Amino acid sequence: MMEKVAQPETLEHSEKKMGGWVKRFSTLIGLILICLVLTLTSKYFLSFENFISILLQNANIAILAVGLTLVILLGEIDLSVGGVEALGCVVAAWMMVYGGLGIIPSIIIALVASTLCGLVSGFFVAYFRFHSFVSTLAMMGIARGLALIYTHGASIYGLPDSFRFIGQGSIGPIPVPVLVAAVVLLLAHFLLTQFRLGNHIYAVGGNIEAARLAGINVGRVKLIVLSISGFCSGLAGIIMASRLNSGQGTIGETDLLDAIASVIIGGTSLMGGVGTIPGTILGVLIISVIRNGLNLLGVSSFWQMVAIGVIIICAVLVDEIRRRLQEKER
Amino acid sequence: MKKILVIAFIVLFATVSISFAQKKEFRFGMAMQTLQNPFYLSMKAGAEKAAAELGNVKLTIVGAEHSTDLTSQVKQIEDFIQMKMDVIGIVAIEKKGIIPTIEKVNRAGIPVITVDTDADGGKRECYIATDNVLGGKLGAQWIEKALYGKGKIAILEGAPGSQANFLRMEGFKPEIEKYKGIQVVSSLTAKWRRDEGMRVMNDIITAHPDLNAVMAMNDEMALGALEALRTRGKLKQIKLVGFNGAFEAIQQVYRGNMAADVVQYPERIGELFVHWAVRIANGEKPPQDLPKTPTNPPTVHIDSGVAIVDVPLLQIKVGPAFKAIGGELKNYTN
Repeated sequence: MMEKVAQPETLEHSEKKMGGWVKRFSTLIGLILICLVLTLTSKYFLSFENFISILLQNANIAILAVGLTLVILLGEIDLSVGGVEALGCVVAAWMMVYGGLGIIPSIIIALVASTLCGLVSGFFVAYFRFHSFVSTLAMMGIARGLALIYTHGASIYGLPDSFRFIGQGSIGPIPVPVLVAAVVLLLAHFLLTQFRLGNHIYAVGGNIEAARLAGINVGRVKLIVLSISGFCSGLAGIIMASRLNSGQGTIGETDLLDAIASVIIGGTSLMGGVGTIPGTILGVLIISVIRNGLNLLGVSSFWQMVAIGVIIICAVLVDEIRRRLQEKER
Repeated sequence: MKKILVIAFIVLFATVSISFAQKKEFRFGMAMQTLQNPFYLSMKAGAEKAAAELGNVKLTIVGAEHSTDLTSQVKQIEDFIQMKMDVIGIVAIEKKGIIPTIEKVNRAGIPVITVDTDADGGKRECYIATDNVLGGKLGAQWIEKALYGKGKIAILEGAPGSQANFLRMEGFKPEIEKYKGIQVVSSLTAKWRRDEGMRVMNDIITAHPDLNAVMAMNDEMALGALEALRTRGKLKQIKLVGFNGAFEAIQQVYRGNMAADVVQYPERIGELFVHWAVRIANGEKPPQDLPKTPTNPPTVHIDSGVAIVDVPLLQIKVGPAFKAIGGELKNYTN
């Protein structure tokens, strides 16, 4: 019975993967165009240092975007990524400064705490039919509130010197956060393409009833994915704790917006079932390059907000037009 | 033939040395906490005016997207490094979290000047700001006089991680505690914001309906609190004191809606930044005998001045002539 239902699924699946290539192509063209314009308008844009700086500044967004890609592929959303990022940042710092723990145990505890946040959100989504919007909205408040409580709104400082390596060190010319992000992106890509869980994620996102009928434990998939998102948020927070050499309860508000924008621009559909990690990588690059480019041109951050909004509209519009053209061809 | 060569050589030498003698162009970047606050807009205006007067200064002034989210400020400063600025000015959102970024600027060999609100570390050439401690003290002293030494007051604090808030409270609290008849019934943060100021003031009035005065540590919060007082009909009962010298607040003092305001001359701070940035970019060091900041490492504090203005001062003593008062006060009209 599994094989009979699997066949149409795999056909749809490979079509979506094909659609993914075309999409990625147009997104890549978009990225190249933006880079071209910035190279012409700012003499500081096209340089190795600037490129490394862009990657470093947005490594945490890339990690958030990985978790979000998996969540959005399911047709769900995770609004808590910014809040859990702050919580991860604060817990790690707190454990090192007040908890008297070493770096590794503190990191582990911070990751456990943030994964737990995802687990709790996922629990209500999976087994109590909460909409993920509701569940993660609540978790956003809880996580950020806790982060602010433990820092009294200010910051936790006095972190051990060796901890700085994570956020401020590099291996060769490549900053450590960029390497961490690269590893996370690769692992997620493998998960989606080589593992059964990946197939299940696409299936649930594409057609939840069919997935259920095919015997996929939909609840468990949602639980796992939201937990992964929590883990990613915590990891991003730990990197920020090292970059800022302190635990900050206020970070993450802009990161939430940037991460969601990256995932959408990268071609992942909010409906679920469509999207890839390489697409998300392109989305993160586009957001990063725009922010950096506008900074280099001295453009106010208000215009950056406008620019990102416009790009989101363009990206999704191009998507919709391409989809309609494809349907006409059939 | 020789004569011609000599003349040509002299002309060449002259042109080359003239072009060297021309003033060098300076490029400064200033990363402000936010551009959504009139206080910082005044500061920006002052800096731009000074830059225009000098003629050879190119200013890039940006504000962080969220006034409490450090990450956008960090990105802006890192991008200033990429732009190879001559001097970088920083209004630090969080005094500890900004330190690694300042150290990054130090490693890039670019001088750092902290403006208005300091960082608690990293190498800074100087810190240009009001004496926030003195300002807090002036506020406390004014309240004591206005209430004749007796009454209940509340404090609206700024963002907890801000050095400016820390210093203003350092000046205000010990001074107000000296006056035994004055009781601080509530001290809550409104994060420097107008909407928070309104909300928190509203809650404080509910809890303490017999309040006599409120000290707001910046004008945005004061202006928000003003709306709360107006809605609850407590404008006459509660004396509202602000801190910044933002023109909207000064107008409210002139109209009698606010009781007093601690004036910081934000335009002057902006001007001072540009002037000191030019001197530092030229290799000058600020005089080391000036008072130093209570940070680690300490740095020279360049005082931009502070005063307190109240209704009698603006309405009676000065009246229409208050346009003539120095700084941005001269832009205030009826």
